[in-house]
Amino acid sequence: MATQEERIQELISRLQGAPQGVSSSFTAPPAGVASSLLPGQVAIPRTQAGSFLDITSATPMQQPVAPATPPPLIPEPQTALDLFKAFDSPFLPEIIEPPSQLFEGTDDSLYAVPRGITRGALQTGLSMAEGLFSIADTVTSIAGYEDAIDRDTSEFFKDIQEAKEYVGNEEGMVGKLSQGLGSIFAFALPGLGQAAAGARAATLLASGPAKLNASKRMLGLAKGLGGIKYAAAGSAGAGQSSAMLEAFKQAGGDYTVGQRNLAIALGVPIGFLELLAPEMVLRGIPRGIANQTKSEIIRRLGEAGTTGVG
Amino acid sequence: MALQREQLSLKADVDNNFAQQYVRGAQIDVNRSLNKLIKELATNYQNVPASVTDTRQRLAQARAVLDKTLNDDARVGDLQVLAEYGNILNTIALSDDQDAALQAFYQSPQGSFLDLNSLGSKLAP
Repeated sequence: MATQEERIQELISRLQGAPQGVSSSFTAPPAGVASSLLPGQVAIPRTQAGSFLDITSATPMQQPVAPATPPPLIPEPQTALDLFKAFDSPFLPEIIEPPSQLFEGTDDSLYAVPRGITRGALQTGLSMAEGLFSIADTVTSIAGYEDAIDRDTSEFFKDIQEAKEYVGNEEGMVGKLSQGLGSIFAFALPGLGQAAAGARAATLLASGPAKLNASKRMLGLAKGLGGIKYAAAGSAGAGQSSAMLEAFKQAGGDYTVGQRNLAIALGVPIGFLELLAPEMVLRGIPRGIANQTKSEIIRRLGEAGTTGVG
Repeated sequence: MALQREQLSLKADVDNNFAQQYVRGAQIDVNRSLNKLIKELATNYQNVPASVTDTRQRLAQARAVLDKTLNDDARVGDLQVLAEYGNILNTIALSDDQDAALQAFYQSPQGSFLDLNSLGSKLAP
């Protein structure tokens, strides 16, 4: 039986390997080990790529570099299915906001007031066009010619929408107020023209029978402008209804042709309501006051408003 | 509120595979949602700023805008439809033989009830 000392010696010799002078049979590979694993048959370079020695020897690292292949170009989408070609990446790009189109950039009242009024007037003008189109669509639809005007395919309707987007809307408080004011101006102008023509007709009539014909013509003009005033207000109301329907549709809502016709028809009287404010203001000024004084009052009110919001 | 109810119903339809189980209402809902998403995607694509010229980037922008809209408006049903069909439709769109892939999709349980005209419809110029 081996003693403690012999066992320790055996362990040391096992850890240190075969002692010098031992026959070659000990250095021969044991049976079952493939000869290709022998160290003598493996060509090991002095330094391996990426190793510490390789890096310190200042030789460039040799890494397998795949040839750079740009992703294949995607042609312009032709069908609805082509729109899904960018769904292969789980990462979404940062959204690029389109630049604002109409002299945007400041909420300073010096710019915001005229800009807002201009925008309001332009938007109302476009709303009137949209309203007239929608009323025509409603009328033809009720008359049984549903396909006569199709707002989904109409170029005119599309152009109006694009123009409205181009004009844009105010974002600041001053701009929004001014835009509201501008929208009233757009259809109050015929009303103001009507009042002016009526006053002129009365003046001509008072100046004598020689001006009777001129007075009648002026009165006719006043009536015409009055009609335009109501038509403008009604169509603007219908246009607003149409715009709201469009926004509802964009948000994923759906409506029937009947619901659309009803909304457009109800928009017309709502548009008339917008005339109430300017009419009440104009009628509230006593008749005894001279026209020049009235103009001065309106001018001062405008200045006060501009200064107040600034 | 009505929109929210519809969206929750649509989400339940997709989550429970009601459309694949021949529930006609669910099939209509999924079809309607997919058509709506395609329209919005097409609109978004057209609204991408002209400064982005690469088609892939424009498509990715359109998708990002759609994703933001759906999340902002809490359209959970539409989001679920997009999650269900987005990758499948992407694979079909990128396949070499698009027609054959689309035909196979229409024969699968997920695509068997879909409107045949919506995916292959031509986009407006």
